[in-house]
Amino acid sequence: MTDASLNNDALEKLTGIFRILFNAPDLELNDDLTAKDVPGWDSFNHVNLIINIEEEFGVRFSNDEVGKLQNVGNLKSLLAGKLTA
Amino acid sequence: MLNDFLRELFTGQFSKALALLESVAKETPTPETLAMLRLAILRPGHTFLTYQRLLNIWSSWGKPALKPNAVLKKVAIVADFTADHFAPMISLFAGAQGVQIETHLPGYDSVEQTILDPHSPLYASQPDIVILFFSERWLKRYAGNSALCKTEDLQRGQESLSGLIQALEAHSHADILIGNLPLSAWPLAGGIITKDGLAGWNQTVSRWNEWLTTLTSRNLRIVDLAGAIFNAGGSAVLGRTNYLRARMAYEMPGTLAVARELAGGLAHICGRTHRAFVSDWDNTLWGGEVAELGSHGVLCGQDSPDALGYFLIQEYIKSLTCLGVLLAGVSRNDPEIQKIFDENHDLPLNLGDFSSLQVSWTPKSDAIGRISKELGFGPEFMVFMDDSLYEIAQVLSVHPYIDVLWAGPDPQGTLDRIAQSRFFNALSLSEEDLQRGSHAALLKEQREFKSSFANIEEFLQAIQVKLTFAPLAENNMDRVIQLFQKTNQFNLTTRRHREDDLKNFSTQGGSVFAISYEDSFGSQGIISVIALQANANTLNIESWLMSCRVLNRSVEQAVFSFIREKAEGKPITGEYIPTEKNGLVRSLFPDLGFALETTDPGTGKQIWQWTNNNQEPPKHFVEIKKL
Repeated sequence: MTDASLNNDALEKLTGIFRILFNAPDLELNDDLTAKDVPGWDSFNHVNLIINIEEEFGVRFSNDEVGKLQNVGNLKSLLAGKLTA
Repeated sequence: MLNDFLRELFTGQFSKALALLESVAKETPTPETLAMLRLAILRPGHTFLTYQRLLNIWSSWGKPALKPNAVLKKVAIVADFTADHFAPMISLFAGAQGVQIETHLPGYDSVEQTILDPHSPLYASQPDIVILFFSERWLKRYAGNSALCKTEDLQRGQESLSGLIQALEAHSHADILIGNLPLSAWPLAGGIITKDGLAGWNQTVSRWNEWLTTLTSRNLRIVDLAGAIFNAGGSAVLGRTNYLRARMAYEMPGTLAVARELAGGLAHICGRTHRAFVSDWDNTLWGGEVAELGSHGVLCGQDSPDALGYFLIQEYIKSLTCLGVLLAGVSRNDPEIQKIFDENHDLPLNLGDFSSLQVSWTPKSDAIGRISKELGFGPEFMVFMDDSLYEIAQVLSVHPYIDVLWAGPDPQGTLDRIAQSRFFNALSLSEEDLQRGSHAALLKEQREFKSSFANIEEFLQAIQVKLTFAPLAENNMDRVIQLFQKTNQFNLTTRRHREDDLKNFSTQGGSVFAISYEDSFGSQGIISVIALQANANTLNIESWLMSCRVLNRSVEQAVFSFIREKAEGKPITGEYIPTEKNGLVRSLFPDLGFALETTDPGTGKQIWQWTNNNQEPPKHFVEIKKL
């Protein structure tokens, strides 16, 4: 998976969602970022994150897609695919 | 900045209003920026992430109080579903109403284990309030999953909840808020059927909710979550995707609606709900301006969509009065325009519906100040509505704790905004709520009555004020203690005595008197308390407090004549300990003829003395009765 098609506006918006939900104003979304790197990113907040991304971008992930996410790079690619679909 | 913020908040883009707030998030908050934050939180209809942004701003400021005299409460949130995201949102929405909460959240789906075990962390957290709300899955444990539910199964669910309430009451002194049940995200067929002791699911939920309202307990209130969900979009906002993924009973808009409703319940329990609706008139209660169009030329009635919209606005506002909400009218206009209420019979409101009327050319902030004085509570308990953002900003610049609504751009927008704000949502009606209207009516009657007298003395004689002095006893103890705890303005020493303090005071030779007020308009109950300590050579006024609603009726002069009688000719001493709120009584002692003895340079505490050097006792117009 690549994040080539996630444009700057979408990346900025996605970063904003992470920063707000985890109250981490300086967080940067590197592709290899995972839950263990971000304080507060537990299993409940993972669901919360996905729900908020869906709500803010107006997209819908399948439960299978959500289950396969390993890191932020995966998430960016998945979102990019939804936005260009 | 406030003007730009209000423009974006009400007529522009909420995201720009939010950005303005975020631009000052790193600065020390001011009354103006705190008001902006509060108004943004109180606007419904935005996404979870938006409210999370507001929560982050509030947190970055250290969660300061968003209303004066905010109360602090420990709140336990108990649910049978994943409710983690409720705590921050309830905390945010309650904070905007002057209730600061610390939350305790027991583990997922542990309602029974948590409540029935007296040693559970729930009770260890010593909550002031317990919120208990369920998904339909909880009731289905008893009612089963069939499309038809047996009456006895519903009763088993009722018995189970009754047992939980009993346990909560046995192991804690907390107030209890219980949410009723919405219908299903995936409606079952045959919902309305009732036959041979069986009922469809919609019917069962309806019976459950009706049964909840019959539960009577001093500490228990029911919150209408079913209504909140209906208003937020119905089954679409009940847990569907969220339920499958995380056992959450609501989608995000449903979560926010329920959190807002529960926060309103907390505000109700803590006495922080709004008590007065203050409304502009022209282009707010009717379309157009009376001075231009005449009483019959304005829009309000049945003749056009907009006229009907204004009619419904007035009808809605009028409907609030039976809940104890007081109405006040504020119009920058010639007082002559009040005649519209006599001349135009299409208006649902009439002049008698307003407990306070301020029709003049003075700034609206001054009018709000006068309304506050007349109604006896602060602007923080009022909602002000106007079609002019200038007027809203002007009022907020002087009264930053008043909540506001913009009327516009058309009557439907106004009506939607009033209804969705939930500012006046009540869970129950107290005697005080019911009496507030009649108290205001009395005040109004008194004002009107007063206008027919040449002077205040003549008026006071005519209304036949009577004060009854009763020694402290079991039957007046609760009210006396309440006055000691609540009275801030007319309170010379602000000593917050409780029952034990007063009993000790009495055993050491002190005397405490509860003073009741009555006049030709009716009784106001106990309105003042004095605590007197007789020493060898003096009588000392240890405490003197009074409800402000009986000011300017020569009551304080009459109380002083009672104190003089108790002094039996000895000098009387009194203390004045200044606080932020008791400036009202700064001149009480000198006005009564006391002379200043000492002033503590550090605390400002003053000792005053009255000696009977043949000075004229202050005049009063009150009949005194002693029990």
